[in-house]
Amino acid sequence: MAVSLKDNRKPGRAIVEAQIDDNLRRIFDEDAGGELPAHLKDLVARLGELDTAPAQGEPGTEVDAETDGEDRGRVSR
Amino acid sequence: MMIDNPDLTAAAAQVDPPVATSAKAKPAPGTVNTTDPESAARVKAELMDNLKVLRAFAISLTRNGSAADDLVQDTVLKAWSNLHKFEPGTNMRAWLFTILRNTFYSNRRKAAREVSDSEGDMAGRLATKPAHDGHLNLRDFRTAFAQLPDEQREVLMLVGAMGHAYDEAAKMCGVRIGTIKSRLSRGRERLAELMQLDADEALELTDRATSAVLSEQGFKSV
Repeated sequence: MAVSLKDNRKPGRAIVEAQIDDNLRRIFDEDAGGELPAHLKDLVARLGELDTAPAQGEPGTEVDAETDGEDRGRVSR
Repeated sequence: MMIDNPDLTAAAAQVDPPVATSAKAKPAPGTVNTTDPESAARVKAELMDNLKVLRAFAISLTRNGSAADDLVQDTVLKAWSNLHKFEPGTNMRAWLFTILRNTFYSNRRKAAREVSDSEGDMAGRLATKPAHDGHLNLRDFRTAFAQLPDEQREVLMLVGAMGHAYDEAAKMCGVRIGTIKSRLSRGRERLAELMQLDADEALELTDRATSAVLSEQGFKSV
């Protein structure tokens, strides 16, 4: 468990946050370590066969949008 | 190719707007050209490499394996059909995460009237106060995590679990860095509350090894 000591937080709080982050990593690693469903692997393998032409202005793909407002980039319609 | 999820037919239609076939221009120089077999193979390999973390991120958002798989499927299809917007050499994982979370929130708005009972069901189900050995009961932790608002779970995963910097997470989520910090802080506080983790008690009960590490790094006993 890594404890970040870079700020002035109470050490107890840093320990609690480290515990939380440690467990976040554990559940993420557990989920990421699971076997992938075959249909997802198959989907990627066969992507070129799909008739998905380049879309124009598809919501959610503009990652370089400015973030000048609360949640502006969540979805652009 | 057959797609199991009937919703994806609509999703694919949504991705492909009503433009004339002639408007499907060749990719501009510097963009990914999936008609080139080598480029297509490279992109597919990168997509495949990211599939497991995409799915883990999707699970953290949807709290449901089946819904997560649908979300990953939608994300992959959207990413493939929008590859002309991806700049080679940049972080594809971050781009995929952005598409995934935007799709999630878009779907959530569409299904706004569907009330999930999962949060209410999970409330109060934590077993016992966790042992203070740094290893919380993972099942209880998942239950507590699932009770948090989507926006807090998202940031906790991006920053707390995956270690993304605040600015990276802010870009992926389309919000300011301050918003990321705020959501992270509130999420951690809520998790600590749900898991009955007390800062003072944690320090008192920290084992000798941890205390030794703290001491070595400059902390004095309180």
